[in-house]
Amino acid sequence: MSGFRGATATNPREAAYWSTGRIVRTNLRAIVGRAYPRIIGLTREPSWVFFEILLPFLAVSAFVFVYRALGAAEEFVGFVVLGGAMTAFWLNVVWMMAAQFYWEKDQGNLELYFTAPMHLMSILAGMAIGGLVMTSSRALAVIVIGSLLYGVSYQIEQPLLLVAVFLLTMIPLYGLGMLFASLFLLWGREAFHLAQLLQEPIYFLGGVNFPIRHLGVVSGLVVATLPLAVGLDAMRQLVFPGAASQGVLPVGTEMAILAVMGVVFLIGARLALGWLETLARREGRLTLRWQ
Amino acid sequence: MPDDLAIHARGVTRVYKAKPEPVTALGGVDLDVEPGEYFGLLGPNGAGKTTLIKILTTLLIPTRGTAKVAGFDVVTETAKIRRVINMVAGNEQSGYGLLTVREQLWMFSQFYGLPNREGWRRVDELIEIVGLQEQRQQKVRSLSTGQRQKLNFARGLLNDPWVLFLDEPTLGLDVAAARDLREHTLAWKAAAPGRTLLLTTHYMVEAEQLCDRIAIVDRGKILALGTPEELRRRVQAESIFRIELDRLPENGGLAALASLPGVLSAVPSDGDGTDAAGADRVALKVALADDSALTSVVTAVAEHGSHLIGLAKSEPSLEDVFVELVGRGFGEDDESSEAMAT
Amino acid sequence: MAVIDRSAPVPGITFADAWRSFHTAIRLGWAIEANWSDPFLFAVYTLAKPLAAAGILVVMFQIITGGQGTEFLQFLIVGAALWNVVFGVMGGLVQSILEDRERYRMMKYVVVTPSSLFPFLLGRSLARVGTSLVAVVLTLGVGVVFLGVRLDPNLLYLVPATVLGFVAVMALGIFMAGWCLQLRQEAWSYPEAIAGALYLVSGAIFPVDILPSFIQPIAYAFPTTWWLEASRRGLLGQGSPGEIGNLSDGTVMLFLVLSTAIVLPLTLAAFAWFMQRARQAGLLDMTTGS
Repeated sequence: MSGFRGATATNPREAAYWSTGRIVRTNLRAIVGRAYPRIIGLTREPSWVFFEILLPFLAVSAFVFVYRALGAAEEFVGFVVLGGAMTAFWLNVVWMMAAQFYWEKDQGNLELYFTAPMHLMSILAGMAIGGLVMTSSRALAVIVIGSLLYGVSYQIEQPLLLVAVFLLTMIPLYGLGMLFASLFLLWGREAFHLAQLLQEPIYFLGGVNFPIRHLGVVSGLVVATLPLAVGLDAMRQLVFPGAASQGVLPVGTEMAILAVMGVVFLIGARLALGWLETLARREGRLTLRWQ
Repeated sequence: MPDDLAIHARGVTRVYKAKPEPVTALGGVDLDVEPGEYFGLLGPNGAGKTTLIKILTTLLIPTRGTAKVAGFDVVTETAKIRRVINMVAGNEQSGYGLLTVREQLWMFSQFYGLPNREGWRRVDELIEIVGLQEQRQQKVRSLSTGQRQKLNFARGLLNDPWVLFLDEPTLGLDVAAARDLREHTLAWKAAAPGRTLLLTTHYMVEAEQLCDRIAIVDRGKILALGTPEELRRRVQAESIFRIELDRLPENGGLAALASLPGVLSAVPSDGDGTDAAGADRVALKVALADDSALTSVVTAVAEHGSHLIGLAKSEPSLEDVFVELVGRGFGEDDESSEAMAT
Repeated sequence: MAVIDRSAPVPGITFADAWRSFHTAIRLGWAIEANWSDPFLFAVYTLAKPLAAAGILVVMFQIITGGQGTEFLQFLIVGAALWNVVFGVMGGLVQSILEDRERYRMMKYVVVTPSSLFPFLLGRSLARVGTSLVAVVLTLGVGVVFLGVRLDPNLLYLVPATVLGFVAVMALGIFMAGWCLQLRQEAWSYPEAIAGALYLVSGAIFPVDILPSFIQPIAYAFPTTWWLEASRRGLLGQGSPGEIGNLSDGTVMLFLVLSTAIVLPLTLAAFAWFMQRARQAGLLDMTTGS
């Protein structure tokens, strides 16, 4: 029966005091643990290759053909391809993070997550990382196939800067996802519908299919609040010749905005998760099914 | 000292907002559970058992009152509590169906911070303990109900919790699976003295078999608390035996039985007649102040020319205790369960 | 004790059974769809998605043409408006089946009733279809009021086109629902992915002629292409730019009828096969999730 025994602390009060290192390691392990089912699921249900890669590519192609029907310059095709690739990350944020707690509550996992000694942000980070394989594949497929099929040409003079912009975009994007996930704890089913709401309106405001400069005054607001818009605007300026004139702000300024957003959203997410957990525990929403 | 107790609750109240009026799921519960004790909450559906467990496992904040687990406050020290507890519920469908049994347990081991290698080792040990070796590589979604609950129980032990909460763990299981689970629980008790269990159930057999002390709960309040024996004594202080003899004791033997020390009464009972072999048989109902008087009763029966054919102790069940306290049986009124159901 | 007369014929599913299942499911679907929010938020949700989708196209149009070419704008607006029905129907049917299987765990109980799952699914999804019709009206309204879209409805043409188109879209949705029943919980996003792909080949937001020549026959095979063209004629009084616009109204309607008549039985047969496979593989009460 030795298998019953694990830890070596002599009393619960001793067992409950963890060092900072142990807390950090536990949360890192929780990230890995939560990412695992996402990643292993890709191999056990391969239909995602069709639904998550091929079909979205076809949807992006529709907007390419709209520009062709309008007689637009070829650079707009490039805008659509890059925008379509970035929507993969946005959808990962919305559906695989923000709305995920909705499913977890139904499964009965949410209460187990709460009673475990890791932070919820680790679970969210694990979900995000686990979904990144699929997301990245989708983004890459859209870019590669779209570029080859539609003859998109790139002029990347600062590849490291491009990578930096991409990474700077991901941080606030996923921070925003964590913030939305905390809203779910409060709103339940409303958050699910709001996640659905966060598609076309965000594609519109985010300039997925056109440079947001053309939104006029609204573009200023958008650049200040929407990481997808800022990141996309900066990346377009870095990969397409002559696109700098289509940008809202210089790349450097937009990188600074992304950095600030990253800090704000991550801190905001942590605070919101904590506050809303308390609220949800007070109102008894954590374990209510079908709310 | 409350901080030395495994579980301490004072005046714990939980009111749910509901229409047309708020529902009081717990109405001021006081509870102290010692370290190493196996404690049961026995009561019908809607009694507030699950609500109390949710408060103690930090899923719910009490509306009023205080509660501590392992000396830590359930409202303000949740992080510390979560490091030393675990919980398993009946009918639990947690986890991810596409993972194998082994993978699922390993995943949860990571949530408790077990190093990778130790996690796998522990997973394999627990799989063996609960008897899921043949299912170790089977996907969770293909497990039967009993196997699923064994998996859940193994998950509950992954972090070797100091306080384990079992919320109706055998709900929906067949007799054999339920018995297996209870045996695993008792084995854990033997292997891990000093670990505390809080069990909620409405199966009396389970409460009696597993628990050192039981609290009978109804409508958010603890009605009685004690060992199973103490609770039964509330209803029936004496020990009652039904004795079957071949004939009544002769020469005033019945009066002699009734006058023995420790015997409260000895009267004929229903059930006279013949046994399966066609022989005559009589039954006596003998009430004793305590069980030790039984020996002198059996001796006196023989001395008065009767032969003992059968002997059975009649004890009140915990449901009898409940009926005595509340005036109704377990299943008779589930109105309050509608609002509490989660 | 009553004895079951085993020699008596067992009644099959009657129209009354199917109708009862259908209208009960409609009430159920509406109750589920309408109870999650207050009316204001519900209105925002109903408005924002379709308007944003149309807005993307309008901005693209404005950027390139500077607002010139109302004919093409009308083409875009009508296509974007009507496509809400496709999203609504497909999403509604797939959502119903996955929700009832994974979330509410109701599907097995419906399947074992004498009623067929089919009318239940149709009824359950109608709430989503209803809200998508609101989106259609709204998008067209905004087009008329703010973007200069001029409607010239021909109801004699529009009504049959709408009915046939609706049947065709439902048929495609039923196929998707059966297919997604074979898949994991992540299938929630698949109807939108399919609808997005159909966007490409149905002449919704650009003329079919723009497609590479080897894809055009695929586009013409889908009933959604003919439904959109017929609806444009019924609403705007004129056809789309491109080759399809040169066909007569009768020809367009004929192709709509034919394509629907082909797709409908195929998708129903496919659904039946998907259900049979689901029963064989034990998928009707599967819970997945990752």
